[in-house]
Amino acid sequence: MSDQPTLTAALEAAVEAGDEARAASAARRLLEIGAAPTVITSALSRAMERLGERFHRLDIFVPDLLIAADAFAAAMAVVEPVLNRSQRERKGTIVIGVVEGDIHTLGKNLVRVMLAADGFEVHDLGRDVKVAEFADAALERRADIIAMSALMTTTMDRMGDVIGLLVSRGVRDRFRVLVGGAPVTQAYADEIGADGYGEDASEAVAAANRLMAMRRGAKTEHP
Amino acid sequence: MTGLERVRRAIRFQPTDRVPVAPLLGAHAAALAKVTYEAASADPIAQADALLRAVQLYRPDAIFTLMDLSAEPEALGAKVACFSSGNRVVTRYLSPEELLTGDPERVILTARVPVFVETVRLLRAALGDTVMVGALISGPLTAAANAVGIETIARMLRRHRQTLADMLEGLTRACAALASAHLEAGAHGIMVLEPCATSDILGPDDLCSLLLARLQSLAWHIRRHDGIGFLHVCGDCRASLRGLADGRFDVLSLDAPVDLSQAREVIGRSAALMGNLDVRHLLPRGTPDHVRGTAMLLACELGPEGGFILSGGCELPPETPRENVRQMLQACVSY
Repeated sequence: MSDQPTLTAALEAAVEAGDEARAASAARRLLEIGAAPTVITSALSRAMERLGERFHRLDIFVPDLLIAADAFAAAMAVVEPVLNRSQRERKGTIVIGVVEGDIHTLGKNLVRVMLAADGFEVHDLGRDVKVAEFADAALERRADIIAMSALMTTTMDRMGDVIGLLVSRGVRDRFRVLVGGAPVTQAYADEIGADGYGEDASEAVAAANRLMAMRRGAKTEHP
Repeated sequence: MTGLERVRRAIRFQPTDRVPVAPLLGAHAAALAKVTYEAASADPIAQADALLRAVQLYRPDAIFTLMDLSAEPEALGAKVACFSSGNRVVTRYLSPEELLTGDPERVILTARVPVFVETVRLLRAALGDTVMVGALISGPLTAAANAVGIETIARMLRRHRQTLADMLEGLTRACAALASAHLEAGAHGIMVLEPCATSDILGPDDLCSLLLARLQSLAWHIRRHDGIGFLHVCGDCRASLRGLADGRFDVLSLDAPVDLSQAREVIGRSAALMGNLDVRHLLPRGTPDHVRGTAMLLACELGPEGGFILSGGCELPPETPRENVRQMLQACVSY
């Protein structure tokens, strides 16, 4: 077990460098020496959190985050099969997608990985997701949060349509709605009645955590 | 002073009777003329007619073709479809190998690209030298990103850099060929669209090492053909301003997240600035008074020194209220 700190550091460094092979290898080696799977997922979370902070202060850029996400996924593929039920316990469940008429997935994909790294169960609905699909998927997955992304001013209004549909179905209170994407701002999020807004991937994660805290608070107040 | 003269003097930092105004009216003009985006991007007569109506209505100093970042990828071989939102989008990307083994310089003037060249011809025939006629074209990085996918390009930036450099080299030649076609058709200026050069995606080091020399060669190409070169970058590109200015375009067109006064401090007089009223909220959703006040403030801050063209931070959304566009134009007449 004395290799564990060294291997954990190597895993984090591999993710930060975007080295898929080294990340997978370090994760595999950690399992071989008997490290708990949560040691690996915690290391991955720390690495992604640091990357998010660096991205936020323009120390690294989307390409760096993207290859880091690939390395994260490679390591997760090693550890996923051995995570037991209790270890899979998540902070919350999120359905995420790019709104109807929009196929720009880059930002959404980064947010998805950062949310997963932070401990959320994330269901990716993909791109060009119809208004009703968001609501249907959220109900089916018993989601806590619906996260939506748009890159174009011509498509971002679909976010408001999703919220409108939740209201008309009488299920608005069941979900928190998180929005983001290049044309989206806090003011716009407020205007359409969204609960949270993330300017970038790391802020989206922070916002999701805030929404979960609000949700837990609401449940405590109204058990 | 004609609009064209006003723009030309402004970019040389020479005195003008007022600040020139040149919003990217394409999508808004099509909506005003009740022409669908699909039709406007496929029919030069419909597009030119819509743009000329907008010129008549608003009297801008420059008019640019419709923004359609799918035209060049389609010419390069990507599959494009019209979505329910009305936008044309790439539905099947090329592989990097397909793009590398193709001949972008030869195919760039195929598919719907000639629609835009013909639109320029029609605009110039109708407007002569009274209003600056501009063509929008994708820059090499954006053409690559829309042809093979931005995520592929972003990974190539870190994993296959030389292959990406080779790809950009071919696309730069294609962009130059496209710029030539527009200039021969009568365009006074070419706006090279590089939304993918925003700082989030392309850091300053990547910009300088991978894209800058190619932008410089495009700027030089446009200038050599007596055209005015514009470089447009969307989003927050503050980290890369110095590098973008080194592209040697006559005009840097910047989006709303960039403070233009600060940008002026960073780049000095190495390029005129164009922008940057918020097209996401202020122009489509703000009140006319708010639009006018914000436009006047920009004109007052940047106008007296010269080297400034008032515009939106990007193309105006189709639903922008007419009164907001009018107030944007009026602000410069009366400031």
